[in-house]
Amino acid sequence: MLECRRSDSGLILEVSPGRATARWWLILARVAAASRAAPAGSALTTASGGPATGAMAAIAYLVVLGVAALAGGAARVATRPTVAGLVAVVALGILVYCVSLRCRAYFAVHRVVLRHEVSASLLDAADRFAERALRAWPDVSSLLAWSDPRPLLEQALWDLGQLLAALEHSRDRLAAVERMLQLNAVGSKLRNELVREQRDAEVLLRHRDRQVARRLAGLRRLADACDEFRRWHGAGIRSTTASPGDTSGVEALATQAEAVVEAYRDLMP
Amino acid sequence: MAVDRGTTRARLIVPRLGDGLLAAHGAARLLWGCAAGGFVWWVYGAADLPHALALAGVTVALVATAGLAGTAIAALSAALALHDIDTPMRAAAAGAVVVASLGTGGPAWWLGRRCGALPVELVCAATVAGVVLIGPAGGFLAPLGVAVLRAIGRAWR
Repeated sequence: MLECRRSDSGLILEVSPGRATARWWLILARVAAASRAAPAGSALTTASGGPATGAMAAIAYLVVLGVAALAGGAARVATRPTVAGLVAVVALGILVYCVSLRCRAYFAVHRVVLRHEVSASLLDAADRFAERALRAWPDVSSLLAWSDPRPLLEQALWDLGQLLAALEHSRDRLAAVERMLQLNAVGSKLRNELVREQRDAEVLLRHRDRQVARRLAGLRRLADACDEFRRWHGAGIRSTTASPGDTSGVEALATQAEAVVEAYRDLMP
Repeated sequence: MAVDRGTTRARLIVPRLGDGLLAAHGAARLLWGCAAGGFVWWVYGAADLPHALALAGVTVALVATAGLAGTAIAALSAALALHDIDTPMRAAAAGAVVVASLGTGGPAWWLGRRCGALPVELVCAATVAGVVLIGPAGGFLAPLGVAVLRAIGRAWR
């Protein structure tokens, strides 16, 4: 599952770990986790948190508090020191296990940080294209008999996130080199090296820029093809029921199906 | 990503629910509940009223989850549970719940805003240690202690 959150450093895109126990503990820990993330007022995050949904986190805290108080109480009222020690050891063991699970879960999460607003808005646009394709998919799958496109779309969005992060890195690198050259505070040998570096950075930036544009265009093409297919699908069904001999609607539908297949294949790694 | 354009919107990139206001809001609620419950436990214990711990626990749960409505329900529960004492004392017991909740609400939210979300493992460890060392009071004070330490730590940075 792809998740996003805002922090001081920008937009963070994450893929949850595959292991079920780690994932569930991560979800529990996040409900009551130490986080300095602030909800943004922009289009990218608005649903994260609010008084209406606040009781969930309070309940999670209460459950933890209740269990901990019971364990502490059991250790305190135990008449024999052996029993108290046993309870304390079990409680400590569970706690250590939870901490290790949380650490593993955090390490297992793959993360991409997008620091520039432009990257975040591009990702948002790509997400909207993917959602359009997903909305139209029930009609597409009725004819093409394809399974759920979510894994492919999520992979495409994740790849785009990585590409955007790489693009940001290239842009920052180029800016740093240009700044150094403008300062003009280096010797001629180092200057030549910096000029070469600038050229390399420009080439890499253009390459990554093209990659991002291609990936975005692929998602847009799939969304458009799916929308068109849905339109033609509806129109085709109506025309075939109205005049059974007319095959132009079916041909157009087949063309649109081909377009969807092509756009879908373009997104495949 | 998280712009709601309709209830049927299929999301691919979902906002993380545990972040930001949600977790901090939960921590503030917990602190409010613990402060009110601790106050109730202390007052009932001083007045030698029965079921002090159970009623304090109910106060913690209701105030933390339902806020002011929970306060009213907790006060009503206290009045109903203390059926074997005289009416003025029952009214005072119910009033103590309301006073505890209203009195601790402001400071608890103030502290909650400053400390942000609390690490769940730390709350757990502090509660176990608190209950073992000082009894029921430790259960009420542990989250508050963690919150105070965290607020100090955040102010320090």
